Amino acid sequence: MTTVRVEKIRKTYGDFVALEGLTLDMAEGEFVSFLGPSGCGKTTALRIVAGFEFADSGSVLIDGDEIGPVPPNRRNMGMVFQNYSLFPNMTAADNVAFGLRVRKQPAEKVRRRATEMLELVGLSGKEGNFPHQMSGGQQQRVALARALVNMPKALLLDEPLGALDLKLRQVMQLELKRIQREVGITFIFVTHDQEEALTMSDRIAVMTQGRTDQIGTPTEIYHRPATAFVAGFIGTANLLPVTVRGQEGDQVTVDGPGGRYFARAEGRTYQVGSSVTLMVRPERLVPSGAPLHGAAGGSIEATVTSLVFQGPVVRCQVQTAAGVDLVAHLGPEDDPSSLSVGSPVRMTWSIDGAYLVPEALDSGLAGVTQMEDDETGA
Amino acid sequence: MAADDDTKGLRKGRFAPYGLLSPGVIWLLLFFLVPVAILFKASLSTKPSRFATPTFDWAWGNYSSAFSQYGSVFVRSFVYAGTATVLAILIGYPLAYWIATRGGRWKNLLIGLVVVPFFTSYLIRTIAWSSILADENPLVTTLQQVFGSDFRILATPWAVIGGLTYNFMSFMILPIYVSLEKIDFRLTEAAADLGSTTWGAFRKVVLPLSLPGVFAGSLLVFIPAAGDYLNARYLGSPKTSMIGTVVQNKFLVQFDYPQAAALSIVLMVIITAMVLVYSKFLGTEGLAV
Amino acid sequence: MTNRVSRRRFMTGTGAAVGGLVIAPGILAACGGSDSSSGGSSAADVYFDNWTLYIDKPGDKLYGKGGTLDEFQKSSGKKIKYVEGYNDNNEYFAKVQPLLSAGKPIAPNLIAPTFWMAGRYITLGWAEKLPLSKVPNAKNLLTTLQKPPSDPTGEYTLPWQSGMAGIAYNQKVTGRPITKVDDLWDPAFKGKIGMLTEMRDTIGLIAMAQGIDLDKPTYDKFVPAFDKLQEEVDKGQIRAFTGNDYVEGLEQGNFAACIGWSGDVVQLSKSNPDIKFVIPESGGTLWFDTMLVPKGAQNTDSVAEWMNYVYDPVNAARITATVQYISPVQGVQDELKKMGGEAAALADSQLLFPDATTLANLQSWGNLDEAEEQKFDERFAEISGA
Repeated sequence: MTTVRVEKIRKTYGDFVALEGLTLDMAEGEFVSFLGPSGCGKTTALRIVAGFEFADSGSVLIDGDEIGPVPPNRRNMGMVFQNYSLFPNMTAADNVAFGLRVRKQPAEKVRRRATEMLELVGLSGKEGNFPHQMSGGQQQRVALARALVNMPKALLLDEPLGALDLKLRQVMQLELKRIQREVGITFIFVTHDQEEALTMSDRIAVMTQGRTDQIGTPTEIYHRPATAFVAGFIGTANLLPVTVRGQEGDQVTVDGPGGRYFARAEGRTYQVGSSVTLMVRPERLVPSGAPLHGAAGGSIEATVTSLVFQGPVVRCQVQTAAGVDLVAHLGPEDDPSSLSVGSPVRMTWSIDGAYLVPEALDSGLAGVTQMEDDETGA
Repeated sequence: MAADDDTKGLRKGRFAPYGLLSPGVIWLLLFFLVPVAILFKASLSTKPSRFATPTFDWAWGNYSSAFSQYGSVFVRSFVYAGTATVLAILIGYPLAYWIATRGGRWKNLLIGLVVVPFFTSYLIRTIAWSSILADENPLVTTLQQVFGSDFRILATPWAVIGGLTYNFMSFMILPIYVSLEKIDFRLTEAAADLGSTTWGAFRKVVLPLSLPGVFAGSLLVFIPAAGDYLNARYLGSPKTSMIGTVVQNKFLVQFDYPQAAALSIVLMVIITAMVLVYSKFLGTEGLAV
Repeated sequence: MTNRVSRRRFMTGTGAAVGGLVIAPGILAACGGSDSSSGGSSAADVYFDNWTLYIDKPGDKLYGKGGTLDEFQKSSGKKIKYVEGYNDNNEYFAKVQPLLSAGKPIAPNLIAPTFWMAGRYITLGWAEKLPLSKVPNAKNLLTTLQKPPSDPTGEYTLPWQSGMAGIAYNQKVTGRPITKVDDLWDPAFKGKIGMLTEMRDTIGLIAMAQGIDLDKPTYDKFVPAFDKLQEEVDKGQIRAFTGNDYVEGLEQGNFAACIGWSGDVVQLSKSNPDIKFVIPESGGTLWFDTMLVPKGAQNTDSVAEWMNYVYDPVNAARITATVQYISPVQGVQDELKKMGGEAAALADSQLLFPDATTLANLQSWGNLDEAEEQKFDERFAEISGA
C-alpha cells in the first residue's frame, strides 16, 4: 500500500508565491487531478513531487517517509511530460527500456518487459519506431509505457493530453483510466481542462494563484463548490451576491439583487448579515411555468437576450433588471419555444437547485461565469 | 528555336526542377569537378623540363613516389591533425556545453567571442602564438626551471598540434553548440525521472544527440588541419613539417606540378576514405532528430 | 624607425598567406587566368610592379608631396603607374608564366625580380633588351654590379636595390661574438640555430665556408654544403627554416644565431644592441633586385626615361634615404652627405656603403641552369622538410 502525502508545501520564485499550503493525501490506486488555470501552481506541485523542484517548506512523504531531499533519480516516480520528452535517439522499445537498463536489469527481462509495456499501451509492433516516426497519440502511449515500466510509486502526468486533438484526447482519457485500473498505482494528473478532470479523477484539487481552494470528488466539487472561483471554474454557474437574512434549521433565507431567495444550509451555520454567494447551475434555471422539481428557491425578472439551439438543450441567455447576465440550459420539458429574444421572462429555480457558496462575491463577478466557451469550444 | 523549346519545357514543368538545380550543378562542375579532373590529369603527367608544359602519359610513378618519398610526412600530417581534432573535442565540447546550458542571456555574446579570433588573419594569429611561446617568454622560462634549460615549446610537435587545435577550435565549437542548442534539455529530467544519474543522462541522451555536431566539427577541424602548413611553418621545425608544406613547395618553388598534383589527390582520397569510415563508425543514420 | 616593416619582412608574410590558397585544387584552373593586376596599362607610359615599401612615399619629408613618382611625372611629362604587387619571386613567376610562355605580354612593362629570378626570365627568353642608349645615367651603375652572372651581357636588367646576407646573432644568448659559419655548429647552440628558406643565402654561406665558390654553381659541387646542412638538421642543431621572421626569433631568444639580411639587423640592433650582424670570415652573399622589362612590353622608351631618372644620383639618394638598402648607383653617398642630418649619417654605414674590403668578402651567385636549379631546390626542400 503506497501512499503519497504532501504537507503544507510552500514554493516561491522571488516575490512570486507559486504554491502555498498545499496538503493532500493520495491513496494507492487513486486518480487525483491538480486542476486550475495556468500559473495556479499545479505544475509546480507536480514537479515538487517528482523532485525536479524543491519546496521552500513543507514535506513530501511516501508511505510516511520524508523524500524532500531525495533527488528525482532515486524517488521512483514515473513522469509523463507535457511534450512527452521521448528520447529522439532511441526507438520506442529503447525509450521504454531506458528505466530498466538504468537499473541494470538483465537483457532478457528488459526486452520482455518493454514488449509487455508497449502491449499494455496498445503499441505492439511499433517497438522499432523512432519517436519522429510516430503520431502524437502514439508518442503519448510510449511516454506512458516508459513512465510505468519501473512500476513507480506514483505516475505523474503533466497536461499529457494537451497537445492532442479532441477526438484523440477522449480516446486517451479512457485509455488512461483503463491502464490505471490495470496497473493499480496512484496517478497524479495535472490539467487546466475541468471537463477532463471531472471525467477521469477520483478526486480533484482545484488550485488558483498558488492556493488550493478545494479538494474533493468531482461531484462534491461540482455541486458543492467551496469558493466562488471553484463554482465558476468547474462547469458553468450563475452567481449572485446575496446577504444572509436568517437561518431556520436547514433553510437559509438570503436577499439578492432581484428579491428574496432560499437555499439549503448543507450543515453550515450562517451569520445574519454576512455576504455570501448564491449559485444556480444553468440546468437548474428555468422560466416560470416550467416544471420545478421541489420547492421554489427564488425567481428573478429578466429579458431574453439570446437563444441558441445546441442539440440536447437550448442555451438561453437573459439579462436581469440590474444588468446581470444569466444562462439557462433548457430541455424540451422547459418549452423553450415559448421564448423569444427581447421578451420579458421570469427565471426561477428550486431550493435544491441553488447552492450557497460561503464566500462573498465581488459584485463585478455577478452573473454567469465565462467558462461556457471553454466547455463547448475547446 | 532553342529558346522556344526551353519555354515549352518549362511550361510542362518537366525540366523546371533541373533548371533550379543548375546553379548548384554549374558551380560544382566549374569549381570542383573540373579542377579535380585537371588536377588528376596533371598528376599523371610528366614534365620533360622544369618550365615545360606537363605532358599526359599515365605517369603512375608520381603516385608511387608520393607514398615512397612522402609516406612518413602523410602519416605525420594525419597523426597531428587527428590529435588536434581529439584535443579540439576535449576542449571545445565542454565549452560549447557550458555556453548552451549555462550561457543564459550571454549565449550570443559568448558564441560571438568564440568567433572573434576569426576577425584576425589566421597567419597573424599563428605568428602571435610563436611570440607567446618563444623561448625567452616568462611562460617558457618558468617551465625551464622545472624541466631543465633545454625545455622549449616552439619547434616541437606539440607546438604544431597546439597551433592546429587553436586555429580550428571555432570550427569544432560552433557545430557542437548548434547541435546542443537544438536539444531539449528537459530530456535530462525525463532520464532522471527514470532513475538515471546526471552523468548517465548525459551519456545516454545528450551526448548521442549532440554527436552530429561532434561529427561535423571533427570534419571541419580534421580536413583543413591535415592539409595545413602554416602551423608547421611558424611553430614547428624541419622535423615537424606536414604534407601541406610539401605540396606548397612543389607547386610554387619547384614547379613540379605532377608531383604536387599526385600528393594533393592522395591527400584528398585518404581524407575521403577516412571520412567515410568515420561516418560509418559514428552511424549518423540513427541520429536524425 | 624600428617599427618600419622592411621590404623583405613584408614579403614573407604575404607570400605565405597567398601560398595558403595554393593547396586548393582550383589553383591550376586559376593559373590559366590573366594577371590579376592587368588592365588600365594603356593609360600609363610606365607600369612598374615592384616589391612593397621599396620607394619613398608621397608626403615623405625629403621630397614633399607626391615623392619620386610625382617628381618624375612632372619632369618627364610621362605617366607612371606604380603597383606593389610583387610579393614573392616564385609566386609572381607562377602567375605570369601562362601568358609569357604563350608569347603574350603581361600588363606591367617593368617588374622587379631578384637577380636569380631575372636570370630565369632571361634564359627563358621572357625579357626584352633594355634601350640602354636612352639611359645615359646607367654609367653610374656600381662596377661590382655590372654584367652580373644572371645577366652576363648586362643588356636585360638594371639593379633596383641591393643587400647582403650574413650571420645575425643575439650576443646575450651566445655569450660570445660569432665570426664564422662553423660557430653556428657549436653544440652549445643546439636547437637554437636558424636558417633562411631563401636557398641561395643559406646554402651560399655554408658553401663559402667550405671553400666552394658561388660564381659557377653546379649541384655536384654543392653536395658537401647540402650534406653539411642535412647533418645539422638531423642532429637537431637547426631549429627552423624561416623567412624574415628570423628577426622575431632572434629578439625572443629562439635563435642564438641565424643567417640573416643586413638591413633588418641594422634596424633591430638600434633597439636591441645585443643583436649583431656579421659577414662571416669565409664571406657573405650579395643579392640585388632588378628592373626587368617582360617580353612583349610596350613603351620601352618611357621605361628607359624612368630608369635614367632613378639612376641620377640625386634621385637615387632620395630613394636610399627612405628604403635604406645598398644603392646600385655611384655618387649616392656624396648626395646623402649633402642632404645632411639623418641622411648624412646613413652615408657612413658599412652596410649601405660597403668598402672595398667588405665587398671583397661578398659573393654573388652565378647563374643556375634549369636542371641544376631543380636539383638545388629539390634537395633544399627535402632538407628543410618541405
